[in-house]
Amino acid sequence: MKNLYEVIRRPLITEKTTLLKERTGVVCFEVHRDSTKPEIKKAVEALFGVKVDDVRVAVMHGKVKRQGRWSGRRPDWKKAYVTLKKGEKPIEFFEQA
Amino acid sequence: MKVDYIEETAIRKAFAFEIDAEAVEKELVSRARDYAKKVKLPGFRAGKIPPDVVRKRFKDALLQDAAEAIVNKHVFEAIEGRGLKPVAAPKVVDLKIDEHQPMTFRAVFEVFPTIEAPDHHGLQVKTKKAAVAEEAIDAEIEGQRERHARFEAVEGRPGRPGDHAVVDVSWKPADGGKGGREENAMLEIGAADNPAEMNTALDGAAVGDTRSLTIAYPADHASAAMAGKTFDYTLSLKALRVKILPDVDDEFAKDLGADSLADLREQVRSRLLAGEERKVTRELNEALVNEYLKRASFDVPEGLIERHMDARVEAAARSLYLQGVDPTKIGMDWKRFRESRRDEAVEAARADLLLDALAHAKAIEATDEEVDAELVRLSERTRKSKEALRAEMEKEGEISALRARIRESKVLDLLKADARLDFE
Repeated sequence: MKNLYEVIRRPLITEKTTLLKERTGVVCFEVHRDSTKPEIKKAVEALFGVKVDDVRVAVMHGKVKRQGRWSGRRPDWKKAYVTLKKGEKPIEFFEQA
Repeated sequence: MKVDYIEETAIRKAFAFEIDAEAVEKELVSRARDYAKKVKLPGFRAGKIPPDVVRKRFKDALLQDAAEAIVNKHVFEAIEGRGLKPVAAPKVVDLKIDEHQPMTFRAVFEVFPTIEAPDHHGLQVKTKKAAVAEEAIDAEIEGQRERHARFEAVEGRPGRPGDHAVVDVSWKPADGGKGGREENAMLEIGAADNPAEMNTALDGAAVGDTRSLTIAYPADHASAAMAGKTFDYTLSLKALRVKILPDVDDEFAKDLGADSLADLREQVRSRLLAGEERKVTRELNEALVNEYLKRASFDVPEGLIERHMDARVEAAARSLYLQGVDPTKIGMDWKRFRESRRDEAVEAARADLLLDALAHAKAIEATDEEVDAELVRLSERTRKSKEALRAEMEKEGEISALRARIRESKVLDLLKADARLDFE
């Protein structure tokens, strides 16, 4: 069993996820590569004090990067779309530049 | 918006502001919009960052910017609205700003005091008539003789006190370390400035002689590099010269651009007299201002004192710079130096305010003709045309300083004219 803080890596704050959150209340996270949907649900509920309705995940494939003649690959990572239960207060991420 | 005007003292005033939450919000929204256009965030295309994200990520910077804009707008409006003239930029204290909250702050500043110029008649000061003693003229002419001395080679005899020796000198610290060498150095044999050992070594030496000597410098020697150390010197005498001073006669006077010796003495006298007159006038002005200050009592704004302290630091640094010394590299504690000038700065600030009050009371101003006359005088000294000088000074904003100088000197003339001067 992974630690809750290990499951959630970071919130994904981009143009796309901001719009998604505003329109549908779905929040996005980068999560541990081996985490499962129930683990993600538990972690989000515990860390942000909200009720989760649904979790969908996607495995993002690491990009191939070249440095001159050397070619390498970034690691794969897992993205989670978390839908909150109706009536839940949206999660606010406190990030300061 | 609520503004309270507080008169803390006769010269210290404050405005206490309370800005509505809506006004703060409006400012924050407009700033956030500006930020959204300019900042770059990973995950967002340029210019597409939602204002909400900007407000969360740049909250502190936005609040600071909004506070600055609000302070600048309202403080200057309030000051101008009341027709106040602060000595320096107002200081903002107790600033509180947050989202959806009213913003509160106080702007504290000092104003020039209102001074009732006291009666300036009958200031009693001691002074003296500028005069030049015959001895001072003799000393000046003697100095000119020294500067125009010529050197003649000594042949057929060894060196003796009073001769000037041309030597190649090399030295090395007795306890090892880096030494040095200087060629064609000129030393006066027997001069009080030389170490006694060097005078003894050169006394009786002939051209071509080499002398070795050791000098142990005392621990309190003026040069830190030499104090308490022992050096080995080698001196090679290359030439001996004798100094010949010109005779003080008409010929000498003509060499110096005068018609005759009597004319030269007269020229020296008038030059020294001009210097002495400047000194006496400066001392008299100082005494008059000090005496006049005794008749008035008023508070001096701290901002004005600070300005005078800064001016003193600047003048000291500039004079060092003109001597070719970098003021930042001499290990001077400039903060302490600045603080040590406080008393002087307080007196200067008091004098400024009082003389200004008297100028106001007597409606003394520098006229355009007086400014013109001063420009002509300055243009002769700087060898520039009057128009060029005026254009240059206008560009640098120095014309108003020139006006202020003329006005001050007219006030000083008034003090002098109505004073009771005791000549020593």
